[in-house]
Amino acid sequence: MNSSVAERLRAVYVESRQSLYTYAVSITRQREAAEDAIHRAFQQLLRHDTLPADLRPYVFRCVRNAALDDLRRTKVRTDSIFVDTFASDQGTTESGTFSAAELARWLDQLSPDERETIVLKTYEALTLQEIADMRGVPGPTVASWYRRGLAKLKTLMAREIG
Amino acid sequence: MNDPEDILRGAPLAAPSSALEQRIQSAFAEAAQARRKASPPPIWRWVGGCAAAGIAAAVVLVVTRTGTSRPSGDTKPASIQCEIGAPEPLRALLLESPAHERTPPRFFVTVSTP
Repeated sequence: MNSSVAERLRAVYVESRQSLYTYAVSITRQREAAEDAIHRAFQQLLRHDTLPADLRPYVFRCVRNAALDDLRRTKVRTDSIFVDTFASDQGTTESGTFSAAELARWLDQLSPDERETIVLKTYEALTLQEIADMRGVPGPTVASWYRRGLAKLKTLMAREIG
Repeated sequence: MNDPEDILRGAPLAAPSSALEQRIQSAFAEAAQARRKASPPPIWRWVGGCAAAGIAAAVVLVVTRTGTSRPSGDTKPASIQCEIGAPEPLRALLLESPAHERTPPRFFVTVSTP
């Protein structure tokens, strides 16, 4: 590892700490495991001598791989990406109010691919093509996961609102 | 605001713990320490090493040269002088007599003894 690798990684970490954590929790659904995954990913990244020019998606991919490794080991998954103290009034919309637990429950009902795509699109502001590149899958597949996930969420929300 | 994305975006997210921050900082520190250990010696060490090797080689050469035995006394080889001459005038012999009458000119060589 050389010093420029460390500097670049530090810059990505500082800039994307929250995003990486949200993304990792959305995969592991366990906060401790998400932190372990981020830590492991950075330990591995710091051993590299060179890094790709477009580093941010690469770091996300490494964190994803580490999170998936963890997912294979641990079975019980309960944590959500939202704060625990998120009260229902904070989620007020024109049509109703939603608590963190409800939002988390709805996200849990999506497939892992749908959930991951929606989290990346919503919180990391990645385009569908960027997500496809990061995941190494065709763009239309990601678009399909995204559309299906949003449709499921809309149905769940509509059912909740009544 | 019925869009699920807007609803999700409006919800506050859980933040990473300070423990993660500390773990990442230690990972960076460990990597920096490993880098320092593995890094090649600075350039002045290479220069110093080369200079020391050069000086050692020069000393060995000087010692070897002074240690070899030489013949005692004057080491300059004795000079030998050679003198080549003719007892009769060469011009008259070579140019002023017809070729068929010509007898090979006589020369003498004198070599000094050291």
